[in-house]
Amino acid sequence: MINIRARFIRGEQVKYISHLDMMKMFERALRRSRIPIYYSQGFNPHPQIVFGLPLSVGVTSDAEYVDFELSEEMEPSEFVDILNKQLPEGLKLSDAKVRTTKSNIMASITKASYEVLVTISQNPGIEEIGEKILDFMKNKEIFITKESKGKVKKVDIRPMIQKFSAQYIGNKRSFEDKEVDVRKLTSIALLEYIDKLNGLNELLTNKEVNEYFGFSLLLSAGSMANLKPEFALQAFGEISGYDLNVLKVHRSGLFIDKGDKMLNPLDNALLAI
Amino acid sequence: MSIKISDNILQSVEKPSRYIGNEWNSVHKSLEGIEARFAFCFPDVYEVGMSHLGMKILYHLLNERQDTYCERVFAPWVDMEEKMRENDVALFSLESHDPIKSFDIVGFTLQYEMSYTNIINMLDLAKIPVLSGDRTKEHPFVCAGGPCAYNPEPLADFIDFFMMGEGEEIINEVMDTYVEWKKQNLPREKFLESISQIEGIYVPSFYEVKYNEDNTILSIKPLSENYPEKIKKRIIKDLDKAYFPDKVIVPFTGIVHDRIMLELFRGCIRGCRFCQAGYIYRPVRERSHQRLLEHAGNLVDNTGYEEISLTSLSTSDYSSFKDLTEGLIGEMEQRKVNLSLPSLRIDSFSLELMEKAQKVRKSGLTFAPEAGSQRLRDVINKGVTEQDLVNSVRTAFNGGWSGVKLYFMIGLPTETFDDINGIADLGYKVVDAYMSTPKENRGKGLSISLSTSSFVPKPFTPFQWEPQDDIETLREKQKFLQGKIKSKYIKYSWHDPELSLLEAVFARGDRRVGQVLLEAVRKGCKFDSWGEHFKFSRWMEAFSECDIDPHFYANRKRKFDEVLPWDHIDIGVSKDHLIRECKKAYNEELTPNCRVDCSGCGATVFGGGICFD
Repeated sequence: MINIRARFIRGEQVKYISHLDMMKMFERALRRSRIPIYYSQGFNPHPQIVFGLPLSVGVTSDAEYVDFELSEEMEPSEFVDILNKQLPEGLKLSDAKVRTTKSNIMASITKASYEVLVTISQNPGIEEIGEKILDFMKNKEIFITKESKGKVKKVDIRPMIQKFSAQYIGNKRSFEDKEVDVRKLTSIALLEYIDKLNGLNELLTNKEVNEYFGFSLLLSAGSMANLKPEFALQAFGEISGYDLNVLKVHRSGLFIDKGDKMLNPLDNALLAI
Repeated sequence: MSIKISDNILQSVEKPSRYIGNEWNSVHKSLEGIEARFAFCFPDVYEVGMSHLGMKILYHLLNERQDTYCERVFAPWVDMEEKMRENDVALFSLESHDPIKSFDIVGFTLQYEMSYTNIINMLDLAKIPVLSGDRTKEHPFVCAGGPCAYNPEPLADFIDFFMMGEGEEIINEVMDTYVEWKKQNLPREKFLESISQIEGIYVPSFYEVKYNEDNTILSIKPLSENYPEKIKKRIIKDLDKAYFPDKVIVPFTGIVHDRIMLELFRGCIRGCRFCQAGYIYRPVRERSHQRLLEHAGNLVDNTGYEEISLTSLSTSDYSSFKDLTEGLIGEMEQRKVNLSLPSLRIDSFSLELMEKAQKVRKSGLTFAPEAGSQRLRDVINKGVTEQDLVNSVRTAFNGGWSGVKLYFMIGLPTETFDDINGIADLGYKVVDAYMSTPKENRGKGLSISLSTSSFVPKPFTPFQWEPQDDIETLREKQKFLQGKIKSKYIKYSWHDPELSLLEAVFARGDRRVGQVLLEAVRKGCKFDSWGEHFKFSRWMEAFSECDIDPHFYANRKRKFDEVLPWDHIDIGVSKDHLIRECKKAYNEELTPNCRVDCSGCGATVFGGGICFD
């Protein structure tokens, strides 16, 4: 028996797959690959696969984590090579390591970082946005209303926002003119996405020239407290008075707290005793 | 990847993965060297269309050709259609996302009559003229095939050509002819002329229909002697030698039949007199269990599916059933693949098999006695007795099952209220069988779900001349039955008689009902088989505006010598045989199944299958 923890990328092509369908997809890819995945014993055997944190439909990521339990020894690099051959376009394992600790990925995730591509109707300058963010983060409490199971609930999300920043990316015209400075971008995923927006049918895109902003967020995530980036941005919009249009959300990291450190799930400190 | 649909749209519709494509085993080709682009269209949503075995076979078969690129197209759900029309997006294929208007051939599969409005709507959404007469050289050819194509006439104005029978061979002949035609740069008409010489191809515009004063048909004749008078269906003689894909597309999202489908055989030996499938797929041809085991292994390797199902008309009739199922269970257990069994004739072997194969709750066993009395079951040639049913359910209850589904039909020829009473009686006998089963053997919580569909007379059956009960009568019969069922263990459900009426019209309609389809689509009818979208009043308006009486088609008894709209189509089974069977039905006489004795239906003309085993 051996445990392998892997990181994978979920790209544009597969971002509309729901979490449940994603699990099924991995199960089928594993069956095709003939990797000796371990099945639970009993009446209704299930393959032992545990995902770190579900990803919302429509969100891309380059930092998804998943734990596999195998019934036979296998080199992680071999595991990655074999399974990648069976994964559809847009889905790819980027790393894997053997795990000897008992850490349960699902229970240990505490934070997630996101890159969000946004346009703002008011077209403010980046400095003004920066000031609004400072004001926003000064709030001791930020309440939003959440609806769950027909009940409307007020939730204070301020403690769940660890970092919140924005940078100017450019406008549509500057991309067409290829004037954009790639180095300024926090995430390649956002840049690629803007390329795609420009490739769309004229009719389907907003014809106005908009300024694009990239928001970087670090939020609580996992079973204890979980905040979706959309809610954080919605609250920011309400408080700042900005009319925000979220074009794309990309998850860039998942983290596990260990002591006062924030580690990525493939950190050796988490995998070996 | 070129996205042509913006995320704005995809995020605003239900189940966006219906429109994405790129699934495992989907075929993507560069357009270099491609002579023909084929849009394989299923006139229903993705989840339904993707479950269809015929499409899986023909998709991969066409893509085996170097010169052809076959792509899939499904009816966008209403929310997506609205967005597409709003943004002027024409219907596109899932593989390349290119508009199908630019394709060479657009093919529809006709699985049920109530999908016809979707065909017209899809053509319109594709910006292809819906009437074949309006298409020019810049438009694709529109063709159709599948079980409903055996009465092609309601769609005659919309479809350039039909393919009769099984597609595996004929479609390659059509593609060869198309590639030749395209090279020579000939007029559109010439292509249709050439393929009209292929056996099984029907070009409706080459035929003229004349009518009598009483609205019945006088004649259906080819416009030139070059065109065949009768179009004979095509079959694959030896299924073991026929093409069968080693891989199928694995969708990203759940579809109706989300598993490997193994087709054991085509046709059915039984000859139930209401059942169109039992006639049009004759003669019975089986795949060998060795071939099937090989297919199953390959399909698991290439799809990773966790379940295999056996699909055929009456699976228990497969001659190597035991060898096949034992082989499958043995092979699939180690790969953690389940065997999903269809409804089987219940005996000790099948119960044991179900125990082994399906590690699920012991609920839901399905039986289809179809009629409530022995007399009426003899009329329809359903060779089961009440004793068979009671024995089967008793065996099942003793094996721990507690849920039973019973399927019946109302409105069958010669039916009386006594027969309907018999349906309720059978329900009670199943309750009795449960109650008399020792408590320690039977499962807890008896539940019997009893449902009735309404008889729809179909072409190429012994009942093709029969009237359908009108809506009021069907409703009266449903109420009567409902009143007879008082047991808390029995839950009764029934089909909408309005929908059955329309099915009856389009199953046996002639060319003239095509204008009703067109009018109904104009009025917004689509997805008619999806309850929430069925708009009966709009349909009735369409009939009256076209001055066409639906009852003429649905509720009228035909004489044996009347020219039927599908008389120029030849399925191999002779009209004489159907007349004989119809007469026997009225005499309550049974006809033995094909394995017991040959009834001389005419299917021997194909020179294969059970007729020669």
